[in-house]
Amino acid sequence: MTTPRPGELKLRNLFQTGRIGRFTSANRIKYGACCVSNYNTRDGFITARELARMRVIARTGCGIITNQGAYPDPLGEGKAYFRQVAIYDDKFLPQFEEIARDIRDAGAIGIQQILHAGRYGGIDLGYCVQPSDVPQTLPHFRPPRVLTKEEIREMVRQHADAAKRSIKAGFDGTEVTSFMGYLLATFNSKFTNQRTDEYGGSLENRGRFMRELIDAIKQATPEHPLIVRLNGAELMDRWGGNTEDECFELMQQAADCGVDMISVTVGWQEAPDSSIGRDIQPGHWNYLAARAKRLLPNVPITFGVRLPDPRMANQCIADGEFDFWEVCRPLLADPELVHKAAEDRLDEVRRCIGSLNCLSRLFRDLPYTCTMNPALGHEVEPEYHVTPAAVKKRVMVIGAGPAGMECAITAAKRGHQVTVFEKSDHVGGNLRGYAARDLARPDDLESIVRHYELMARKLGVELRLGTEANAKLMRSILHQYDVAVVAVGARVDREALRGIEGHERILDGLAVAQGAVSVGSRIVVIGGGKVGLTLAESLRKGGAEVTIVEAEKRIAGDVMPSFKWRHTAWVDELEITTLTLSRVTRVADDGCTVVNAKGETRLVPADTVIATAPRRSNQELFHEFEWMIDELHGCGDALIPRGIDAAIHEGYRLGARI
Amino acid sequence: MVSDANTMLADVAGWQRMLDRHAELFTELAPGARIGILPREPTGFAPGRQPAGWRDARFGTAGAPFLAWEAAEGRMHARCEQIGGFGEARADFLLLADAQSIAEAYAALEGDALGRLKRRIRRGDVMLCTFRTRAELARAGYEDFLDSLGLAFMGACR
Ligand SMILES: Cc1cc2nc3c(=O)[nH]c(=O)nc-3n(C[C@H](O)[C@H](O)[C@H](O)COP(=O)(O)O)c2cc1C
Ligand code: SF4
Repeated sequence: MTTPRPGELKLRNLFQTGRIGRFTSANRIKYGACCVSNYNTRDGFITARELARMRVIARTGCGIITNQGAYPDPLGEGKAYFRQVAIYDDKFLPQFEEIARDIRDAGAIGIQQILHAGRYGGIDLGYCVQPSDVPQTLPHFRPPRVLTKEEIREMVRQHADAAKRSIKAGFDGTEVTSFMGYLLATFNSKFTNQRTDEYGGSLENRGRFMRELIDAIKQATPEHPLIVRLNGAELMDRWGGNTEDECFELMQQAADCGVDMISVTVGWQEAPDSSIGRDIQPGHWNYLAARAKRLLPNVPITFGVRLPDPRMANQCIADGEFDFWEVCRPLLADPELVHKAAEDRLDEVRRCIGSLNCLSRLFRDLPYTCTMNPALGHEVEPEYHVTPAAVKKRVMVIGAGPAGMECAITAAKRGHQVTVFEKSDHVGGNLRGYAARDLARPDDLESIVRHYELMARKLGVELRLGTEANAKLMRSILHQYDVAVVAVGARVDREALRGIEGHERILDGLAVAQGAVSVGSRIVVIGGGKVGLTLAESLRKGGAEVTIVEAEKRIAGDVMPSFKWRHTAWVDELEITTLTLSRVTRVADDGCTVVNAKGETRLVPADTVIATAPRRSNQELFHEFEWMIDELHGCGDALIPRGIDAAIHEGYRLGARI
Repeated sequence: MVSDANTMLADVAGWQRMLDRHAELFTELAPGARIGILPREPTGFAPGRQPAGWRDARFGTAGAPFLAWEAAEGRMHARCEQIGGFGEARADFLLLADAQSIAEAYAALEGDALGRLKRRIRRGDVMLCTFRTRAELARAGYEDFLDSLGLAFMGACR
């Protein structure tokens, strides 16, 4: 028996053993299938990129690890993602075997998920299969085709075959998912199931497909646990979806069929509201798991939707709200999360900030990446590994925003001696001001800054705050550093505003965000990108009347695809006026003059005009420092103004390379 | 109600003015791209319910008023037709709107009609019905317009 690590003693409930079927898990943490990664081949074979990724996941320290959802049918009707893996034939087995072996070697229980996407499937086919011909409410999914009874039976058989194949590959159990409205959900829900035969109508009939599925898989793999992911809430009430009561009756049916564990999930892809976005507070959905546990005290319940904090999970288990913490995106953001929790180093965790970069990329048919974890998806590439530097250098990083700090801590991990020069008196750069104004959850964004402060301290990065790096300073420290990294971000391009009559009255967005200047009650914000929107929304929330003037034809042009709707909905709810394809031409006492693309002019009454766009990189130091230092690099917005993802990723890549 | 919707949808000049005001949303659309607004009532659609075999079903003797927005020569053109079934709509996608939503959008034709539609879509009063694949819609240049309706086009799972 090994001695428990300090964090394991603190989080005893999370780190106690658990049972699933005949297996005992090392702890109560299940890596949820957060893994439709788009890293694989177009015809469903697992690639070296995926294998390397899963090797990292296998070693996360979770007691149960779920491998990504594989589609079970040769036609690909179940295939939802561009490079999703398939499991309809033995030809796919060798790579599944490798993953199962890695999971087992790491001492975890391996579960293979079977994901038939149903309504969201058929990505290569131009149609999707469904119980009934219910039109898509989101236009990027494919038109439906109704399943015959014969086809339903065939599908059940395909699931059972896929389960058998998973066990043959070396997995300990299987999982069927209905998360976000996949095939199983479409049978269960009265929104999508309007059949009049024995598979539709009453709840009993709608649950028939699920019961047949469970039966078939249990018969095919009798010794191995089966997990079913079922919604506690569909969030589709307005479209005639299941009520929460109906969702729980379906869970009861699954339990009666002898399922070995239920994973409680939330939402449909078409639901008008968030289920996992940054605007949902951690713990918001816990009540659904607690209800499942009350209903089914003898069935292990696993849960983790928007529950990123192991301390909260530990408490929920102590309170009997669920049995296993099913953690997904937090482990994408920080694969060391469980080890850090076990070693009582939770303060070092890189938090998932709910940016939804991962999912946004999946919907663009791109491999997923993570805002907070630049190495995600690049595990197979040595260039992304943080390895000891061959030559230890003295590195000066100029700018303590996310790009500079990421570069600094990555370089420090490799043994370089790093000093960060920052003009202001704080770490975080522009992010700090804007994070505080975030309507969704400021603490998520602020956690980035806290993480950098802490890691800089732990890694011995010297922070020289209140120190402006310029040619004069550089001359005074000549030859003390080998490398300079310019990471001084971007600014509002005041030159570009000079054509506006009265431009000197225009306030800088950053100064407003930081509270350095005060504003009036009728405000015009120039720029409807994420920075302008964040500022406009917070000022409106504070009671001001706000108009956004955007040069492009749409607002939110630079916002993550999965979060765009959120900003446009806030703009709507808060009644912020937006003038697109428009520019400000004059600022005066009575307000500002705005001209649109058709040349029409209007006066917008305003006492304050704030510019958040256009933005321009701060590149002056590149020229000033040439000939003063051996290596000169740049990263983040100082190269091209973009945002936090590019800043963190470039900072990391540079830090790993210097 | 149907006759009200009939009158409102038949005000082609009014809808055209609205479309022209939002011309920028349609500039990327390929010629022939076609969106339709149909009153929900004659179609038999309701939240969580649609008639069996709706694609081929007829709307009843009176048919249904159908407002089509069709892209041609770099502009969106409004026209009102009477159609007897979904098959006749020949649209890339349809907005199936309840009577209040049509009335609300119509009342705001000189103002924020699209904003009203967007809010109604979110509330489930206007249902969407697509006849094209994602790639076809993207190729036909619909992204700007779908985004402006607040739909999570190519960005679901929120
Ligand atoms: C990138 C990504 C991929 C996912 N892939 C799957 C999947 O293959 N099967 C599934 O059932 N759920 C999948 N999910 C949903 C997660 O398992 C999980 O339920 C959800 O992200 C909420 O948990 P979290 O807040 O811990 O991320 C995925 C989620 C993300 C973000
Ligand atoms: S991309 Fe964003 S939401 Fe996804 S895991 Fe990373 S931080 Fe979380």
